[in-house]
Order: sequence, then structure tokens, then C-alpha cells
Amino acid sequence: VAAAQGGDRQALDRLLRRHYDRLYALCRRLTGNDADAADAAQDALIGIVRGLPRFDGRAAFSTWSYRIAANACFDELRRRGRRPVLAFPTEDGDVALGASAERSPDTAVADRVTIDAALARLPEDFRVAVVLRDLCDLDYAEISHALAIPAGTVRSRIARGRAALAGLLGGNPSPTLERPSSQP
Amino acid sequence: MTDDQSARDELASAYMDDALAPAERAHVESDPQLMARVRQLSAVRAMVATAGPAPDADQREAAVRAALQAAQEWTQRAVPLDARRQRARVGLGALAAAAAVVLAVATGVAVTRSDDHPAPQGAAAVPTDAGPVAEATSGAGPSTTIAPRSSATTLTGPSPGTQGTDGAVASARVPSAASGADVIRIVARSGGSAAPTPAGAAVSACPGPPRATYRGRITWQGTPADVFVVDGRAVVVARRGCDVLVTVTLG
Repeated sequence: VAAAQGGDRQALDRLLRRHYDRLYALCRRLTGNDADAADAAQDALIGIVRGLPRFDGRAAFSTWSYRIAANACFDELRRRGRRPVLAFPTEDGDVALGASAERSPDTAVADRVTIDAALARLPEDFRVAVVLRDLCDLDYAEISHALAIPAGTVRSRIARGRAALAGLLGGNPSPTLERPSSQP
Repeated sequence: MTDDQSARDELASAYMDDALAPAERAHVESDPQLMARVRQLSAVRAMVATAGPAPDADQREAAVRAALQAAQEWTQRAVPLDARRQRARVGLGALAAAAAVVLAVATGVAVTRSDDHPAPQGAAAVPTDAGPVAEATSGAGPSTTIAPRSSATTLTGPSPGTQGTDGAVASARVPSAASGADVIRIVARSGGSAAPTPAGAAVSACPGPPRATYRGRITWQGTPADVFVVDGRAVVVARRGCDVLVTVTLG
């Protein structure tokens, strides 16, 4: 990281390649589809490059880069004016992309939705907290730093997000999640 | 979902994350229903943790190339922050005769001002001609307002003890050639009166300068941006591209 900050182009190349797959995985979970994930991951790399001179090492580079990637994902979704694209398994087990959140299935088939589809139904504040914890393996303090919210809020959002996912994946009526405040 | 169920879910979830005190942990382990919930939520966690297919190699290559290209362009254009700050000062100084700066903290008011624009400490109003074009609230944190070019004449914060639910005000005016000044106003909310957080408002798009505090989102001359405060400076960074749009000295 220091070499890349110092202008070493090869170090920067290595740094970006090393982290791309993790960032793509995060974006894939947050956007719910490959195309948006690819665009957002690319934007994230550009954001990292431009922000690198200001990276001060207070957080791990990975934590810092996740923050940039998460914002790139939500910017991408907003730019396209939509929620994450849902992915529903078809009768033969394949995944069909393209159903919108507005046309989401009722609870009778809620147990068939994939994890992407379930995540897509969470407000983004819950989604990013759950994904940073469960996919990226950040602890509460790191997520708190990445999202600039109190650790108590992180804990609450993760718990409520997981509970909502459990309901969606288990075919239960989806719980109503209000947009979270910054308070725990 | 009831508050009680939410509290139990939070216990079960924190148990999975090994984030409970020993007594809480023992409580969870002694409750079969809570342990059943732990198993349910653990299954959810396992699904989320399963990464999808690896990205296409061509995608990776294209993304890295684009970022390196951006780095090259950035390097050609980039000026160290201190130099930007200096340049901004010189440029702004050439454009206008004076700058007024007011900085107030949540529990009091500290005022710094330029020679030709007195800003009396303790006054309560922040009048501008044009008014704000954007305001962002960051949870319990401060909100930030940037007004367009205007001829603001008084920039002040409320005196201690007189602040309303919005708390105290910190403002800085950036002189401009046209007709006056751009105004950065930072409202430090206090107590529990903060408005709900807009989606993502608590998260900056770009990392701020080292040691900087994120203050919220604004629109700077049509460009969505984040405001950071560090070492007595407000740094406005474009959310897309992370360019520093303007640096303003506070107090």
C-alpha cells in the first residue's frame, strides 16, 4: 500500500488485482447481479486509486476499500434508478435474473427466493451491514468505522437484517423493516 | 416484530459474532429457544457468506486497466493537498477582498473572522441572499449546508444556551469574484433531536484527508460532494471521482 501511495505503478497494479475479487464479491451481494457488480467494482477501483493519497492507515486497507466499494455499489444502483435485481430459482433449479423488486413474489413462494433476492429486499443500510459482517468478515468495530456509524447501530442492523433474511428465506411473511436511524 | 423479539434476535446475532459479555453469553446458552434462533441465523449467515462465482478474468483486467488509467490522469492533474490549499487561498484571495469564517461547536461558539467582514460572536442568524441549495443530515452528527454564490454579510453561530434543536452553527464563507461568497455552514446537532438518517447519508463516498471528520453530504455548485473537517479546514470532496473541489479554512 505504501509503495502504491508513493507512486509505484506496479505496486498499485498488484494492490488492485489482489483486492478486486473481494470487492467484486461484495458488490455482487449488494447489487444482486453481475453487470452492476462489475460496473460498481470498477468504480470502486477508481475510487481507491483517487483516494489512495488520503488513506492514512487508521483502518485496514481492506476495510477502507470495502467502504469505497459499498458506496460505489449504492451509487450504481441509484444511477440506474432501481433496487437490486432479484434472482429467483426456476422450476429446474436455474436462476432467472430480471424480476424487479416491485414484482416480488408473495409469501407463498418466499421460501424459493435465493439469498440475493432476499438481500435485495432489505433496506441498503441493513444489507451492507450484514454483508460486511458475513461475507467480508469485518467485526463490529471495523464495520462501524467503514460505515461511520456507532458499533451499537452496527450490531442492531446486523441482527435485524439477519432476522429479516431468516423470515424471507424461510417463507415467512417478510418483516417490515423501517429505514434505520443512526441510533442503536 | 416485537421489541422483545428484536432484543432476543440481537442477543442471538451477537452471540454468533462472539460479541456478548460472559453473562449474556451464559444467558443465551441456557435458553433453548435462543439457541434455536442462533442456529436459524447461523444458517442465514452461511448463505450470505457463500461468495458467488469469481468475476470474469476479462472484467478484472478491464477494471484494473481503467483504474490505472485513472491513476495516470489523476497523477497528471493532482496537486498535493497542501498545495491545493495554498492555491485555493491565493486564488480566492485574488478573487475577493475578504473572507469571513465562523466556527461554532455544539456547546458553544468560537468565531474567527476576516478583517473586513466582522462576524459578531453570539448572534443568532445566518442570513444569506440566496439561501442553501442543499443540506445533508448525518444522523446525530452535524449537517452541512452550502449556499451558492451570494453576498452574505453576516455569518454567525448562536450563543451558548440559545441553540435550538439544530444545535450550533459553524460557517465559513469562501469569497468569490462574482458577487460575494459561497457559504459553508455546518450545523452540529446536539442531544437526541437529530433527524433520521437519509439512506447512506452517514457514509462518505471517498475517504477524507487523514484524521478528518466526515460532516455530511452537500451539493457544491451542482456536484454531489462530501464535506470533511480536519485541522480547522473544511474539505469538500466530489462523491464521484473524489476530487477535492474546495478547501476552506475554518476558525
